[in-house]
Amino acid sequence: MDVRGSLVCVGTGMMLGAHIGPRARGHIEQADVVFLAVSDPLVELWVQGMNADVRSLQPLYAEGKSRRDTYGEMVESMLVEVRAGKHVCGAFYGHPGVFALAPHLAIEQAREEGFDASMEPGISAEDCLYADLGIDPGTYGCQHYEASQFMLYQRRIDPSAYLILWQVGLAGDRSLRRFSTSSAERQLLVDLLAQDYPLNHHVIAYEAATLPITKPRQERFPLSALPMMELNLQTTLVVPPACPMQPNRDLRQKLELLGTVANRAPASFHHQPQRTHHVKRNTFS
Amino acid sequence: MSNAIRFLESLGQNPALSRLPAEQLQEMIDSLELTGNESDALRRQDAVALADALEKRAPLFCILWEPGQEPSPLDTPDDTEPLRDPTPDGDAPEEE
Repeated sequence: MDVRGSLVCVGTGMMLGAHIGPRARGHIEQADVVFLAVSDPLVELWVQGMNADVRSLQPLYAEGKSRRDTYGEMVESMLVEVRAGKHVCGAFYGHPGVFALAPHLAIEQAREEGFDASMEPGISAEDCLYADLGIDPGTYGCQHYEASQFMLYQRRIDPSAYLILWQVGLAGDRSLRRFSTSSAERQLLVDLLAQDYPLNHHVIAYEAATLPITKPRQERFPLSALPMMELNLQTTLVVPPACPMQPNRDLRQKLELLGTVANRAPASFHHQPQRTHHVKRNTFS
Repeated sequence: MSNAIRFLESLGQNPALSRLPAEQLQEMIDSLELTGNESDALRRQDAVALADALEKRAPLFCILWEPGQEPSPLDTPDDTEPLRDPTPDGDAPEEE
């Protein structure tokens, strides 16, 4: 009998019952112990019904406590049981490896200690966002940043592509101890974005639905109104493109010179006309 | 797993249930042997009331990330110093 501990981190998807994959569910049901971090109390009850030993990671959060400590404790909670020889499952809402620090750290640590550790993907908030808002990231391109990181570091953004800012409800927080930030901090974000976008450019506050009886939030408003908007922990800010893509004439000319090579390519390699009609409502406001 | 949660799971798995007429959905809810509060919350599609009825009202936090995690050898270590080693092999970058 295998008494060596192991760790797998799985995603439950965003919506109760709708998004979890059979493999992720199998891991939850077969684990000796499940550690759970989800964003909805009813989803927590749902997962608790899949295994006799499901332990919520929620008590590790506290107002005024650094989330860095919280994430460290999440890792250690899981590793203690792995070291004790148990098959441990960390179940995280959405995708366990997207904007989720503890699963990555736990897997890294478990492997360093010689244990089997892996990750099973899940349907993330990003996936739901594309479906609910009708956005294809391939149409104009798509840039993703954590909102505070976007503010704290110099970034070069392209206003002809989508810009998506995660955890915008915490925009500007450097303490890691708060669960909301002020309108003054959000105004700084607006000032930063105003370098590339007009203040009347329409943006979208998005929240994925976590239950089949609720709807996703898709609230459109001008960028200037951001400081006054209700922004929750789960709110994501979507900034549609504000200008057309600019042709790179220099590179086009260089490609033109390679034309004889391109002409030998099979027909299936030829560029297809871009589908743009579905994003018109979101862009260039 | 409570019958109310099992019902939500069925709704999530089967989109056809969401398209049922209200009367038929109510019949399904009535057959679940729920408490009055649970049944009423489901009928009104009120997630907060359902969590209350199931005594699961504690707020949940849905933040699993912190800014400043990206590797950057140009960073001056400060109060946002990353938890993770900035290089793939775990060695800190040498300072010049």
